[in-house]
Amino acid sequence: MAEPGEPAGPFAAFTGLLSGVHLRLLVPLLFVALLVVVSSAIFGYQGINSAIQGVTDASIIIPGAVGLSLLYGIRKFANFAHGELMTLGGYTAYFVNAPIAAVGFQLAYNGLGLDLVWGFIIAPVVLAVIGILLELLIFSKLEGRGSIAPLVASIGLSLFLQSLVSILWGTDIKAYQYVIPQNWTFLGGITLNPVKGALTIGLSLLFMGSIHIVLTRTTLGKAMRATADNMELARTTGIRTRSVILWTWVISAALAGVGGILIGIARDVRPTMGFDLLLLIFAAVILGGIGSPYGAMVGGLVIGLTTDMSIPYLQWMDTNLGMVNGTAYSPAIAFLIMVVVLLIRPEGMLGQKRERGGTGAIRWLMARLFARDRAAAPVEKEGE
Amino acid sequence: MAAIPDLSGFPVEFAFFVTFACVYALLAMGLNLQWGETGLFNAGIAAFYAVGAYTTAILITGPAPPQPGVYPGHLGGFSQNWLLALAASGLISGFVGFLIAIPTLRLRTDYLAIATLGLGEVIRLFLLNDAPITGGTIGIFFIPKLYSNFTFIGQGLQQVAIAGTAIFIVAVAFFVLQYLERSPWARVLKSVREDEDAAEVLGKDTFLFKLQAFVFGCVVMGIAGSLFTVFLVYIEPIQTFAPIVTFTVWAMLIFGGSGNNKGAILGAFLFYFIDWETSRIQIQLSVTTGLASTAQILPAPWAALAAVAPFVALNAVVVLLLLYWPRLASKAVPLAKRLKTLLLWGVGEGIAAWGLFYSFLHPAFLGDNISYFRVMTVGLILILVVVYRPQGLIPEKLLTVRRRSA
Repeated sequence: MAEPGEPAGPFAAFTGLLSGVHLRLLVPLLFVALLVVVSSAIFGYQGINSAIQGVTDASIIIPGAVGLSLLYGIRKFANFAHGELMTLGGYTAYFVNAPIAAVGFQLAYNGLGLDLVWGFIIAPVVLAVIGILLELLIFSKLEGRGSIAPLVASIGLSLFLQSLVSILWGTDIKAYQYVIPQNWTFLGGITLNPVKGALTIGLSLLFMGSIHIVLTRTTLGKAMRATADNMELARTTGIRTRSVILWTWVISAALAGVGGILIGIARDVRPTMGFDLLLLIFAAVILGGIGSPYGAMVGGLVIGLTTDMSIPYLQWMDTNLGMVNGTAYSPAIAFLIMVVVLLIRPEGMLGQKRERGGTGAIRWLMARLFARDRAAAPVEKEGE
Repeated sequence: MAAIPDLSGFPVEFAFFVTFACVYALLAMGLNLQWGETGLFNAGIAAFYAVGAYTTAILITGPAPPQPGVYPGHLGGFSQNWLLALAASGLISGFVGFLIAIPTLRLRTDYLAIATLGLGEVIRLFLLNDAPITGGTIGIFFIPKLYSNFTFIGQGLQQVAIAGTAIFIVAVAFFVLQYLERSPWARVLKSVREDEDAAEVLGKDTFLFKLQAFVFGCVVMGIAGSLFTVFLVYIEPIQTFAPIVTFTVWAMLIFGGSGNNKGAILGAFLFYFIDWETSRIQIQLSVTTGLASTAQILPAPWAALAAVAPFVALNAVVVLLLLYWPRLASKAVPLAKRLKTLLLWGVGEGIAAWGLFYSFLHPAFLGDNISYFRVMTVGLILILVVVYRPQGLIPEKLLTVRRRSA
């Protein structure tokens, strides 16, 4: 980096662009690009197709991850019920989409008989109302009691909602009523489904774009960022933090709702659809830096891609190294990446230092080895 | 030898209840050491429990060769004594806890929760998929039941003997943990829980203390897994060690009162009572609905009502007495507020009564969904306790320093 007094070198514009946020984003993006290039070089079409599958999975992780991260930024607790909010979104769309009963209405099999597009309009509204109710009934009562009381309450809420969905709709696997088109095929072997792949990715990009606009261009978004940064200061400057919290719940729950519909399109609709994805969402959020919505987007991309792109490698290990059911371990790769990130950089890629989840083991070890006066020397000796 | 009359019916069922409640009590006590004393949020309880269970299963079973297409087989054929397996379960579970603790224990509480949940899931993936070692999705069968070679007593008495063993193990664990709780070691743990930086400034190596507490808690959980295995004689990874087990143990500890072992045991017994009662209702309902659909012999709705009644009564007692009693009884609370509380409780019981009425009309519906109603109750109680009674049923006794008189 150039000192302020020094004349700018020929690469000043370039280094300026690469500083700060951009540089921190570059590392994971380069990692992802390298992974895609290497995998497609080794595995050919299989590598490219798993990359496409990875982007699809990333696009269903990202709405949930961004909502979770936004909520964490404002309310400072990890919402374990976020997966169930996604499930509720998926089932709301199922209710909108399921056929009208000819005789005898049954909630598990009948609904409004509308097009799935209406799901994208109705589910966010329903989920926003649910989000506000949750804040008013449960989480507002836990304000000022640290980050663990609301976390435990959200675990209870997760159990409650998941079994409620199981009771109302049954545990069988359901699908939306729409015609699944034929796969597109490019260049002889690259396949992409127009709805399950392309549409899911496109919608996810659209939601992310609108979140970006809300966060940067609107008064609400600015108030949200200020509140996330420092709630006391935001309140002092006249921001109504209560309504900012409620709006955050609205945005977070609505994103979870549309994320749930995307899961329903790309995979299927079942009571555990959200909870199954929750750990990957957490991994994405931690990777990006908890509380940072942009970090969650990049984290979701990295997690989605590595989960799916590990499959060809694990298959290779199955056949050549005698591993058993290797492909089943692909989510484990994501969790291991999460643990490694926590070890090296506990604040994540875009997180702030004070939001970090503890001392990274490596930093701690360094501090222990090289700064002996800090922890190694007992305090009482100084007074003697 | 004179035949000793065997037991059957309710005493055996009750022995079943006591054994399982003891397993959960051990899990809750292990969690109490980690969370209640030290403030470490372990969300991978099911994994440590499973490690203990699988260690015992592998050590005490006879050979299980793979049968192609039927059963993948599992590591085994050691046919060891259970006491050896019990010790091994504790040690291996503790070792796995040690491996997980090394990278994660420096994390803040909520990060630790996510990390342990993720790593616990990795362990479950291993149990599910590494079929040559663990039997894969099918699990491990034909585990010799504890005391099954004591042929001079009947099976019912064997069950009772297992329950006695379980009580003995819980008692030993309780006294050991109580002893530890009063030690200077546990005072350091509590100081880490309250303010880790302060403990660090005072010269305590907090990481080492957290590591010890975490590993020791995992040892207790592994022992619980071992006890479970020799009692149920069959383990599988999908239902028995699902994340719901972790959250149930959390609910038990928080309901009973975290920070003291009595609360952990009380919570485990109360919660497992709900579990046991619901499974009894399920059996009863499946009988009555079966009859109603085939021959209409019994008036099934009344049977359903009778089966559900104790469950609802328990619900009422738990919610009213334990959550609202202090508010209702206290003169300091204004009458209007007390009435409002009573009204809220009435609404809750009204919903429960509606559920009862509905299940009265459709017993099959209740029979199908009662396990979900149970999970719903667990979730609801967890939320209510956290909001209204965070200290639990038996609050932790805070450490007090007695001033020396001059």
